[in-house]
Amino acid sequence: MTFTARRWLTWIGGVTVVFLAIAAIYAAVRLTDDTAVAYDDVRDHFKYGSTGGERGWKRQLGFGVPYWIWVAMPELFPDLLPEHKTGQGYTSFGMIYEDGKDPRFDLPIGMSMRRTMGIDRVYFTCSVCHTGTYRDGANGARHIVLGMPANTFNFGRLAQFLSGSAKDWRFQSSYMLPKIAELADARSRAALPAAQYRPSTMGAIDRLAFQYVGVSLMRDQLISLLGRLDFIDFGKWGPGRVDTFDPPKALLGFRMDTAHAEELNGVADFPSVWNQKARKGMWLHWDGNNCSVDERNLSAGFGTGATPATIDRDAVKRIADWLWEPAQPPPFPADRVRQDRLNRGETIYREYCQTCHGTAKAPFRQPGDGTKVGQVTPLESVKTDRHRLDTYTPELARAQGSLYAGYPADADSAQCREYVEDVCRPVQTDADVQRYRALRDRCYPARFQHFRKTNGYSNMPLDGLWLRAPYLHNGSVPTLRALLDPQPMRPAVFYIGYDVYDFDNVGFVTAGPEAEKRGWRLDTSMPGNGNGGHEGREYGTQLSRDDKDSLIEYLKGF
Amino acid sequence: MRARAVLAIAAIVVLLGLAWLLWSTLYRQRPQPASITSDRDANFLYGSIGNESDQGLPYWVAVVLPRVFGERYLPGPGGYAALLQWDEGQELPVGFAKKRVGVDRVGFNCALCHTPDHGMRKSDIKGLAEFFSKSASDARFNADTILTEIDLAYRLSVVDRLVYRYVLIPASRERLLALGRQLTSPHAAGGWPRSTPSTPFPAGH
Repeated sequence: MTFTARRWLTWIGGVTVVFLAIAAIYAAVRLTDDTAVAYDDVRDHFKYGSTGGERGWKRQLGFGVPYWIWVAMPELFPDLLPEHKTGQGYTSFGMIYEDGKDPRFDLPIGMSMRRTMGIDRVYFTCSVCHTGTYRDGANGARHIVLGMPANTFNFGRLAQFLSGSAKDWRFQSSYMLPKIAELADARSRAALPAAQYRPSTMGAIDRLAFQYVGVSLMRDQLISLLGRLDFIDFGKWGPGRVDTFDPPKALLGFRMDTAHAEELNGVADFPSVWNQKARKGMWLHWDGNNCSVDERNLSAGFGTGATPATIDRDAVKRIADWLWEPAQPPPFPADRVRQDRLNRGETIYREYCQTCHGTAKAPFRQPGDGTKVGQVTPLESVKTDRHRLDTYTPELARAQGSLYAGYPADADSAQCREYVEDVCRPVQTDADVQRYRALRDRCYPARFQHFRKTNGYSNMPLDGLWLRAPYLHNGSVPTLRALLDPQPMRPAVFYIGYDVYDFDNVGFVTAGPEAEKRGWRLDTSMPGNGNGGHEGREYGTQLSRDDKDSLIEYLKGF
Repeated sequence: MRARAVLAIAAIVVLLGLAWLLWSTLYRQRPQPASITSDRDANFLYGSIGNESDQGLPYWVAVVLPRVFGERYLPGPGGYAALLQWDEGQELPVGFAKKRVGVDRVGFNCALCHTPDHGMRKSDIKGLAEFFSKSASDARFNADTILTEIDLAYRLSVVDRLVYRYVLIPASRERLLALGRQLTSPHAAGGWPRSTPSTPFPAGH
């Protein structure tokens, strides 16, 4: 071998080694990358903060949808959107874009972003189901209320869109990547406010990765996730509602083809999430199946993709701590309350309602006051639609005992056993709160140990009641006034998801041409939508017209 | 000479370390918590009878088995609750004893079949036997599928993960088939233990 050939070989070898080393470092940095978009203001964290659901763990790739695929989907599949229009992002599902955001490129409230494996990925966070809007009139200003039920958001329709897109033949890189390039170009030309994190445009390596792997992996992920939920009829949810307890059955691998039809209609209204401190130790969820605020939060967190292996503990705790007490419902506009009715209204409330629903403001109940706030009223008494109760099966309650198994590592320690006992005890003093916090910080998250099957529905506190319409657990009664009518007089069909407020009847406008056009038709004769129950003398439906008026005025103040 | 001695010592230390690691991941026992062992009822329902290693399943295989195969081989929705008595809030069904022998394992005790009346359905042991054998015979019973499901539920340590992949999951397949046979004829020779090797049971159940 000549000297020159040797020198060439050395050079080639050296370059190869250096190249491989750089590639290895790049891959290592990229694959271990895990950075959530962070927010200083806790309200922004609630709106957009990640619970960890985007990231994966080992063989699990995580739930996060790459940002560029998320923004490309409505542009690529406008025919699958409710309004068949591009340029609006996810607006037509009732997702909320704050003023100044561009729905083509920015995220709506309830979507969080995290950079994992070198890709900016987005997924749901708590506020997607727990932030809503109201407007003072058809042309009135829009008010965004954090912690309120997501009255406009049609989660079921979004699930149908994601599933339909994933199954569409155009969901492939030869369609997706040109659309992404087009959008990136449009974004660079759009005048967007600078003060927020925006994922960069795809580099050459990203494009290669998406070309050969990314797009088809995403398609796979969506099809397998939504395929597991195939037994759920997303079309019957409508805005502001969700079938809470059928998805966890899929997560737990339940055999659903042999399930009874009665357990498949458990559509429930999104709840408000304020004042959790006062709710500690109450029976939570509509059927009161769990007394632990922590377990309830973690259970709801599965909906944001946060699994025991991926949950961002501190981020979730930060949200929980904000919902604990700082997050409060806005007051009903004072000029729309008839002050002269309040005294009479309060008298009636105390006589008819307070035993079960508690006082207007937190903590709703006092030790030893004999209230039934946060306790379950048997179905035979309340007689509201039974499907939500039936969807929660004894088998599910038991299988949930294996969720968060293995956590915390020292579950058998005296402190963590105490935490499990304490987690359902109401707090009364600051010392109670401090003790609970100390135990929680040490032993959270912990395996679920408080789920149970009940025989009725829980008596909820009524904070922010005016923004929690439509009423009853399934949203089957549009206004408070209708709720004080006996079932035959309640509207049999009405339209939900339209956010103009009806200050006289206390609820949203659910009839008329605009509501029909913008809203979703709720038919109370469909399984799960029954509007009976919570009626009779003790429920106030036999009060005089005058007394009902006074009671409604008083309830505006909650 | 000196260097050789150092090398030899280093080799011995490494070997001892590996032996310790092997012992601690496969054999080191940790007693069940007092909340089970010191409570008569809990001990009957969830107490170990010392059979976790020879007749039990690795804990995470036991936990995720219905999540992977329940859709096909259980009679209805509910995971193990579709077959077995399971008390609300409990980690495992009645008769499942969790104990650490190296890793966490699940053994099956007398209460699995001899369940006191809980006001629920009787446990369907034949159904459980079928579920175990059918799951073990399924083509998807392999380390990839099982670990993928575990990754949704728990962060196994690096060592545990390796042990699961190369030792515990492959061994579980044989174990499940054996359990399928044993549970069908529990007290036959080579079947289920008649006596209670390590933990004496309280009388009166």
